[in-house]
Amino acid sequence: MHQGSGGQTKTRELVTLIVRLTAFLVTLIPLVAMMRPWVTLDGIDEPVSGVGAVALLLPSMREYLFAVSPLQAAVVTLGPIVVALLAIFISNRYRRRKSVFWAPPAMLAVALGIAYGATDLVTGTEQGLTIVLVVSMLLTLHQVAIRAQLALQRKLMMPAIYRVLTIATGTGRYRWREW
Amino acid sequence: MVVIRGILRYSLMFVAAVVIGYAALAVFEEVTQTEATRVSASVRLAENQAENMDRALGDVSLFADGNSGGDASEARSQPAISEISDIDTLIGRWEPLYEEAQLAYVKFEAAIDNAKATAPGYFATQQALTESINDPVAKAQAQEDDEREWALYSNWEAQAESALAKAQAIGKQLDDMDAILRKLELRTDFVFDTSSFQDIPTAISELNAELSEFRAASETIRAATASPFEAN
Repeated sequence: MHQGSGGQTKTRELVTLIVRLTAFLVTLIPLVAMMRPWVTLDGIDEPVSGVGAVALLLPSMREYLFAVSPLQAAVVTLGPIVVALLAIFISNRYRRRKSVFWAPPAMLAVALGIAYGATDLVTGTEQGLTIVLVVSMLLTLHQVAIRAQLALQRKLMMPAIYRVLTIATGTGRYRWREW
Repeated sequence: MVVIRGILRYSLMFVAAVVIGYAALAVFEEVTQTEATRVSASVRLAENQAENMDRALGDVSLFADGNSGGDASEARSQPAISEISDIDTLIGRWEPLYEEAQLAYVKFEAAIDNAKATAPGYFATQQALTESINDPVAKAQAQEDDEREWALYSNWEAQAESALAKAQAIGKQLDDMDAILRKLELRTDFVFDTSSFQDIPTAISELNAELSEFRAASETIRAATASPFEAN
């Protein structure tokens, strides 16, 4: 009986560790997506990647984009920089097993701003930006789950759900040593 | 024993370094692209925006003809202009078409300005290279080529200016039409003037001749660029 309980504990710890590592790997995906096509710009034949959108800040496309709509041009060209910085920040926090409740929603807001807030310039959302949207939604959900778990812990309510959330969010304890 | 944090730190650093390297490469490519590639891209952009302007004005033209404009399936589901007896409905149909035409004009103008801004760089580089040729025969041939390209570009620019002027004239008529509709909207709160309302489709129809002229001008822009700018 004791061995069975120990086996369960080990499994729980292993799942917690896997979830924790998976969450970290997910935070790296927006950085990789920077190199994939992000958006199709009106009048430009080839879709531009996240990095390519930043390169549009160079003359002469900058003049064109900012002449059409300064705010939307800023969103399209500077948005990927903000997404990349947020991805690095979130990733670093996840690496240290620290929660960061505001950053994933901020990344989601920036990605939505590029996809749906810059429609004077953007005519289509491509694979890279779609990946960023999905990943930031998942990370936002992860943060919500962590908040729920913390709330349950503080109020000592619904212990079964609390335990499940501890494993599902990857925030629970495990014995593998970390330096 | 797993040194998890160390592995994660290095994987984060690796991915960040790859992205930074890729960004540096993209910027390098952008900075070092040839003048011809820049002009080619800006001319293509201007031509695409001429097409967009044509499409936007085409939708206004459909509206003027009594259709709804825009998407064909949407057009079938909406009543014809002549059947509309409510000014708000008419403005509801007019407004998106008008806004789209306004935006298309801004883009078209900006694209032409962009092409005009990039062309001098290309011709200055060509001229400098021609000047550096020592052989008089080869130099004369190069100068002749430069002049032919300049004439081609000048022709394109003139056609683009002409198309832009026509688009501007149509834009002013659209502005007037919008003002008329707004006045009608204001007046309906006082008394609904049916006779003025009936005149609106007729007034918009007068735009059609101008729209045809713009279409011809935008086609001429594309015809003018069977040029080295499209080589890349």
